[in-house]
Amino acid sequence: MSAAEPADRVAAVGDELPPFTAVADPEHMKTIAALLGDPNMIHLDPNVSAALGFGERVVNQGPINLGWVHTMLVRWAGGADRVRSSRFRFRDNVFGGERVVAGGRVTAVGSGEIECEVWLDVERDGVVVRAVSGTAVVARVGRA
Amino acid sequence: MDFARPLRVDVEYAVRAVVDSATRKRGVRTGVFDLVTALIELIGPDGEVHAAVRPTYVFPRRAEVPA
Repeated sequence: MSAAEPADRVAAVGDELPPFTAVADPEHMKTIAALLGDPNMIHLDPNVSAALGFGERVVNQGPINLGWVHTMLVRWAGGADRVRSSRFRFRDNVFGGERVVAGGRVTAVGSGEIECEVWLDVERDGVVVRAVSGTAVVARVGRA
Repeated sequence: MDFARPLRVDVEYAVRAVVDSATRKRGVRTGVFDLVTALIELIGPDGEVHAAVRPTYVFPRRAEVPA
């Protein structure tokens, strides 16, 4: 299976999921902070993030990081209703302006479900940093 | 995150949350800290759990307990 084919086609262990790229936009962080009712100023004010040791840029919200991985999964799986479960671990922060790449790889194929290793990588100072790692299970057919 | 059913627009869900576990640990760099996992469930109009999430939070306890 090529990376561009959806999950309900033949999937095999080792297949790479089509990557999803995004940029951590500080304006989006403001919107999410309002939606979540998240008062933590490290997402909004670079002076606060610097004072707390995070550096000179605002810190992206964890749910946005997870959302990018889910978006990658949904695009590959063929619909939001096909993502059955996910497990994530936050390994590093994503900062304002950074480019991220969500990716994954098939680790097991069952009769009705596909298990994947998933991640979110950040390109930082010429080095790839893994911000999120985890696993996910997607259905091979829609449940809607 | 576990999705038993797809979440739908315009459906009203109830939210139920409990502390699922709390474990005290000691790390070389962090010292004493607690790992607290919550279980948060979205319950649909049918009374069934449609989605559940188990976030785990790290609470450093350096101020309260000498490392």
